Amino acid sequence: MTLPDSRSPEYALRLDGVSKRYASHQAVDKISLAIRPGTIFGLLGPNGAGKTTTIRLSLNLMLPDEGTITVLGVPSSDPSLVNRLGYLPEERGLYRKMKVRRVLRFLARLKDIPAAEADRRIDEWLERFQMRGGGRDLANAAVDELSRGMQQKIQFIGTVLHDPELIILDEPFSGLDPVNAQAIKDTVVDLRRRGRSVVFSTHLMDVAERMCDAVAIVNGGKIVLNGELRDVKAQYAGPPRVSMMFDSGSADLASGVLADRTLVSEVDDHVNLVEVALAPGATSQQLLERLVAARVSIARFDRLEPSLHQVFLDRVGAAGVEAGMSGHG
Amino acid sequence: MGKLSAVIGREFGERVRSRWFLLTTLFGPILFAALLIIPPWIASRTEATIDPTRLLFIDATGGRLGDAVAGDFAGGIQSSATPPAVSQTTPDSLDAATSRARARLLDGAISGFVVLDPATLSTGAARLVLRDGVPGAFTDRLSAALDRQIRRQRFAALGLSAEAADDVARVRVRVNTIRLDAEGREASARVNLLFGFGVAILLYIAIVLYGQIVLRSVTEEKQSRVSEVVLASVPARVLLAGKILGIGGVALVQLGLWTAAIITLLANRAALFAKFGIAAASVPLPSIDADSLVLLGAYFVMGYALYAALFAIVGSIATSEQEAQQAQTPVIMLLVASMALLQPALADPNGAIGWWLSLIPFSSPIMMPLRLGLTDVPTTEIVASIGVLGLTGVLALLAAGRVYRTALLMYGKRPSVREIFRWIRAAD
Repeated sequence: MTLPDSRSPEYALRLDGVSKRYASHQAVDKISLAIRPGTIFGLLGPNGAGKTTTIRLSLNLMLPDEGTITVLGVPSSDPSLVNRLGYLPEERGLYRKMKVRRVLRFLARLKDIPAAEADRRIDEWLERFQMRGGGRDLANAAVDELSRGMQQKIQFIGTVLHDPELIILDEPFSGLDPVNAQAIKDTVVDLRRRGRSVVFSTHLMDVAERMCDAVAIVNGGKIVLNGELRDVKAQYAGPPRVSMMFDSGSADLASGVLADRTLVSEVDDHVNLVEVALAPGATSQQLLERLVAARVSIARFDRLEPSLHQVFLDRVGAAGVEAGMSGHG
Repeated sequence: MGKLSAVIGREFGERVRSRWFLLTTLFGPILFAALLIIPPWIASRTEATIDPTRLLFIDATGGRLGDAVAGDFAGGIQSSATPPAVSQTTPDSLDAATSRARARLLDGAISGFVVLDPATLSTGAARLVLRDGVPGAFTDRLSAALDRQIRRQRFAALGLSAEAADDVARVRVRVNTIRLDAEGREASARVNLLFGFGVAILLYIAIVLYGQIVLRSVTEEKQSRVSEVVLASVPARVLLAGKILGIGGVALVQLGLWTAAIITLLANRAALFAKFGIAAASVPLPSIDADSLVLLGAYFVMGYALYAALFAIVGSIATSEQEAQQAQTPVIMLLVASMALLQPALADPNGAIGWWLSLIPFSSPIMMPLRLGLTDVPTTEIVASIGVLGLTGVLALLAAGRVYRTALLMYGKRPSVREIFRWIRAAD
């Protein structure tokens, strides 16, 4: 398959000063983003931050009030784009009464994939997701006979069946059990390995942290942070944190040291594990020396990398967390 | 084009493959056959419950009127049957004879009795007494026999010979209404009335039926959230066009099958009636030319497209199936109003009501075919009607495409009428 322009454009997706206003509120406010081809990009933010609107604007499902959007090197309104894009919406569903193969064939035909080729790929994908082979074949099952997780996998297959150059997934892991979520994650990583670009939105920070090359944090329709994962983390302005474990009997000795507010500003005691934030000016090296001097027997001492979750807390504040952000998933 | 055919193919293929299609396709002809056979069959059955051979005529006229009527009555369709019994009596003992007959009727010895009193010959009045309800055909036959025999006796009383009296009495009056069309061809006006009425009702049913299918299809797509995936691959107007064309294709196939089945049934109705033991009534088949067939097809296609667009708008703005059922009321009302005004238009096909309703696009697909069957509609009126209908249809489809694009992505909230008009006005 030849990929016109796909390797050459500088960006897989580029938004310049894009805004979209609904009757009652500003959903997207002058967002600018640039996503390199062949990378996985995470669009992070609490519910209602403007992620879905940003995605729908990028797919030309809605028109922006202002700003320009370029997809794979051409304007987002270019009709030739639809066959080069794959989209998994957050609100998912398929024709319930249709058989799996017919649904997938229909979705492939919408992307101008001939029936024979579509059938070959459908078999391949169903086998990959263990829905075909070994005596069973769910291709002939009706959609509403399948479990929710199975239906989501079918819909994911529908998204990538035409081998799109840019795949946009809106909350792809929500509502999936760990096994199915892992299958989708593996596939996304594999798509990147094959040079495809993937953009996905999520409110699960740790998923984004493990998978993305670059991220943008959106809140209230605006971009709060944007860049390579490393750079985003480097912008973390909060105090350095250290995680420690002590041998039995040493916890009491340690608590005296940790009570020093010139050294430690905050203690988070998890019983077996203690996590602390260092006071301004203090270093982890000073903390370690003080603990050793106090004859504390140390089992583990880790300087913590700031997590995306902390970056987000630092930049957006607890309000964003309460609005639906989660560090777990 | 490939994407449009994909949408058409899905709508058409899934529906034709469904159990619903098989059932309704079979049900149409079965319903028609039932309507064709059951009423005359029931009529013939009811008639048989009053056994004419066990009928008693009480004749107090003093002449032989009872014998004559009984003979005539039996000599109708069932000429092989033995004529009913006749009891001659005098005016004085008529009451006694009547009460005896009453008792025998209650015993079940006779199936009913007819009283011909002394005045019957002059007034034509007679009494028929039965146990059960009386079938219309039975009294009609009795009245006809009575009518003929009274005339015959009175003509004879005026001095005509028996043959001459017979001859005069046998005259039966029938008015055969002939409708002469513009080319001078003759056609039965009654047949055309029935045909025009039938076509109007068929068009109404087809538009409601398939409009509803469009509505349900749109609602289902929005409810199941499939529309967002599909809209990422095809523009809203292509999705809408494919849906309307695909379901329209199903409609044409089904209507074609129904028409073929109905024509086959009508062509073989003599054999069919014979199987059920019903005397074949002569139902003349309407003769329609290719021109009017094309015109009927055009009205169906355009009427369906207009209403399908309206139903699609309703389906795309509704947030649930129940809401769609409620929201479609204004659209249904437009159709029902057209049907409600069918009667006055029927009475005066070229009157103001008929004229206006065949010009207004929401009723013209039903009204114009009816008028075409009844009168010669001037060509200018047909052209104007088709033009207005076609234009409205195109506008409705364009509006539906715009509403569709926005409404399908809105979940949870039903837009206001003002919002809908804003979407329609918004440029692409």
